Amino acid sequence: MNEELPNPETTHLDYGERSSVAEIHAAVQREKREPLAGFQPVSMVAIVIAGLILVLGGSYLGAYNGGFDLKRSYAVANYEAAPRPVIPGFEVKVDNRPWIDRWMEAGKEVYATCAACHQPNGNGLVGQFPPLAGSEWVVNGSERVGAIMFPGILGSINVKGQVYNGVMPAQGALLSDKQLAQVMTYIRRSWGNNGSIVTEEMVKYARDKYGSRVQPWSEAELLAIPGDAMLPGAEVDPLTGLEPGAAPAGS
Amino acid sequence: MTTDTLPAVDDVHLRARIDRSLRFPLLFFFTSAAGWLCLSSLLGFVSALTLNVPELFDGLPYLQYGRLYPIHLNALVYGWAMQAGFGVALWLMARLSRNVLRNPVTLVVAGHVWNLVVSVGLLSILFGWGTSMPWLDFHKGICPVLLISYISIVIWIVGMFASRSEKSAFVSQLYILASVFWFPWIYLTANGFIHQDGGAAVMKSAVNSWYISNMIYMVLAPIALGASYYIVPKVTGRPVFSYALANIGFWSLVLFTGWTGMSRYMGGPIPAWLPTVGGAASIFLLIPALAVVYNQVKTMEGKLAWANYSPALRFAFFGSIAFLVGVALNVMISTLPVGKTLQLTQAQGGIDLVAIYGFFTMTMFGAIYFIVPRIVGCEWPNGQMIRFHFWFSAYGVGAIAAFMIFAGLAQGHVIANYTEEFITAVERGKPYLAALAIGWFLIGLSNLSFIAQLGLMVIRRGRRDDEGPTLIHKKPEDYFTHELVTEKAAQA
Ligand code: HEC
Repeated sequence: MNEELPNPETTHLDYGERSSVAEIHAAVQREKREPLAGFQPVSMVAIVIAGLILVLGGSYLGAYNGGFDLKRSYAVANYEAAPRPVIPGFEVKVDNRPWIDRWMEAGKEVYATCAACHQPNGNGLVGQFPPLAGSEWVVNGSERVGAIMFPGILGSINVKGQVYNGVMPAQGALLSDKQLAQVMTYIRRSWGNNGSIVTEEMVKYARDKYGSRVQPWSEAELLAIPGDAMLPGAEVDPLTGLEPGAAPAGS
Repeated sequence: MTTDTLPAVDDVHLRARIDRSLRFPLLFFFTSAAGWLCLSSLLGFVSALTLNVPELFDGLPYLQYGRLYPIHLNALVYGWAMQAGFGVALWLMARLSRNVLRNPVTLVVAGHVWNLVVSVGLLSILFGWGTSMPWLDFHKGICPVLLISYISIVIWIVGMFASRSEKSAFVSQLYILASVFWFPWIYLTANGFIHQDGGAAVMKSAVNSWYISNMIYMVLAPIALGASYYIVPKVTGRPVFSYALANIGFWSLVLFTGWTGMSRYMGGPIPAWLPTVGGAASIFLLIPALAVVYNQVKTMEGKLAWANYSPALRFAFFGSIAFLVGVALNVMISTLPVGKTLQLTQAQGGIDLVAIYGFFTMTMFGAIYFIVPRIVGCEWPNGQMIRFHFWFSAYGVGAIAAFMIFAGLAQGHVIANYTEEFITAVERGKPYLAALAIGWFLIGLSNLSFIAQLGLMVIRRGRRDDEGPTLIHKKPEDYFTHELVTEKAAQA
C-alpha cells in the first residue's frame, strides 16, 4: 500500500530496518485508532458509593484523630499504656533519693580534682595543703569560698590556727557553674561541716563578680570579704532542688 | 533532520514513525529492566531461603537477609519497575502526543547512567553502606545522582507532551505527567528529611513510610493505570466507557495519595493524627481504584473473553483487578481494626507486593507484550510461553502475598502482646515463609521465559509469518482479523 509515500526517515541507530515505511509492520497496521473517550455520565450509584467511602474515611478520621494534638501519640478513648516491660539486665534505674543526695554525690565526683591536694578526707596535708574539714574559710559565708574558686590564693594563710604558705590554683575557669555549685556544696557539707547549699544561680553571681580577676587573693584581701557574707540567690528545698513552693519536677 | 519535515501521511504511518524513533531507548529500558527483574526474583528466592534457614550462609555478611532483601527490593523498584515505567511512559506519551522522539541517542545514554547509578546503589547496600530505610536503602551519596538521572530521562516525556499536536489530553497522559512530577518532590523531600542531621528518628521512619506509599500509588501506579487506559480501549477497539469517571479516578488519586503512608506507624510514638490521616486517605483511595476497575470492565463489556487471547489485555486486566485488591488490602492494614494486628509484620511486605507486582509489574508485562512487536516489527515467538509467564507470575505473586498475610496474622497477636518475646513472633511466622521461597522460585522461572522471549525479539528473531499477533491461546474464531476488516471498512 501507499507506494507513493516519500522516502522514510532513517535514524543512525537503526539496524536491520527495511528502508521503506511502505512495509509497515502488521502489528501497527492492524491497530485500532488511538483511544477515544466515551461520554457516559457518572451514574448515580457510583456517586453514592463514592459518598459512602468519603463518609467512612471521614468518620475514621473523626474517631481517631486524637484532637490533632501534636503531643498525643494515642488516639483511642480510654487508652491505657501497657506497663513498662521488664527486660532482664535492662532495668531502668529511677533515682528516687532526695535532690540534695544526688547533688552531693555529683559534688563528690567533682571534688576528685581538689582531692589531690586537700585529700579525699578533706584534712589536707600537714604543712602543705590546708584542711577543708572544719575550716572557717569553708563553712561560714559562701561568698569567700566562691571568691577563692576564681583566681586562687597566693601567700600565707591561716587555717585552723596553722599557717600555710602555698599556692591554691584557680579552679573556676575549668569547671562549669553547676560543677562549682556541686563541689562547693560538697565541701561545705561533708566531714562534719554544716554549711548552706550553693546553687548554680549563686555561682553565676560569683563568676560575674570575680571571674575576671587574675591576681590571686592574699589572706588580707580575703579577710576584707565579710566572713558571713552569702552569695545572693534563692534558697532551695533539699528534697526537690527547687525553690520551696515551686511545682515538683516533671509536671 | 528529515524526520521533522516529513508530513504525517496518515495515522498508521505516523504510528510507525513514532514506534521506530522509540525502538532503541525502549528496547534498552525493557531489556535492562527485565535483567534487573530476573536478578530481583533470584534474590527474592535466596533471601526467602535465608529467612527459613538463617544459618545458610553463616560467615558471609554479603549473603545475609539484612542485605539480600534490600537489594532484592531496590532492584525490583529502581531496576525493574522504574525502568519498565520509563519505557512504557515514553511510548504512551509519544503515541498520544503524536510526537516522534527526536533524541533517541541522548535517551539511551541517560538510560545507561540510570543503570549505572542503580548498580552503584545496590553495591552500596551489598557492602553494608546502605541506609536501612526501606525503598531508600541506597547510600545517601547516590540520591542526588539518581534524581538528576531521573530528570534527564523524564524530561523527554514532558517535552513530547509539551509539543503535542492535539490540544486535549487523554487521561493516560495526565497519569504519566502526574507520575513524573511526583517522583522528584517525594524523593527529594524524603531523602532530605531522612538524611538531615538530628531530627526525631521516629519521624524519619514515618516519612519513609510516606515515601513508600507515594512511590506505589503516585509514581508507579499512574504509569500502569495510564497503560491500561490505553491498552484496554485499544485492544477492544472501544472508547473508554466514561471519561468523566476516568477523570474522577485520576484526580481523586492525586488528591488522596499524598496523605497516605504514615498509617504504618499506628500507635507509634508520633502524633496520633498522622497515622489516622493516613488510614483515612487509604480508605479514600478506594474511590480511584473502583473508578478505574469499573471503567475498564465497562469498556471491555461483552469482550471480556478477549482477555483469554490477547496477552496485553490479559496482563493489563489482571493488573487492574490486583490494583483494587491491593488498595482494599491496604485499607485493612492501614486502619486500626485489622491493622493493629497486621502492622509491622510480614503482611506489610505481602500487601506492598500485591501493588508492585500483582498490579504494576503485571500491567507492565501487558504493555511490553503490546509495545515490543510494534517497535521491532515481528511477533512474539511463542504464545505458550506467554501463557506460562502469566500463570507462573500470577500464582507466584498470589502465593507470596497470601502466605505473607497469613504469616502476618500469625505474628501480629504476638507482636501486639507486650508480654511475649519478639522471637516468638518470628517463629510464629516461619511456617508460612517456606511459601515465600516457592513463590519467588515460580516468579523467577516465569521471568526467565519472559526475558528469553524478549531477547529473541531484540535480536529480531520473532515470528514473521502472516498468522497475525501471537495469542495466548489459538483463537477459536477470527476475532482480530474480523475487527480489522470492519475497522478498515469503516475507515474506507
Ligand atoms: C594544687 C593543689 C590544690 C588544689 C588542686 C586545690 N587546692 Fe585549695 N588550696 C591549696 C593550697 C596550697 C591552699 C592554701 C593557699 C595558700 O597557702 O596560700 C588552698 C586553699 C584552699 C582553701 C582555703 C583554705 C582552706 O583550707 O579552707 C579552700 C576553700 C580551697 N583551697 C578549696 C579548694 C577546692 C574546692 C578545690 C577543688 C575545686 C581546691 N581547693 C583545689 C591547694 C590546692
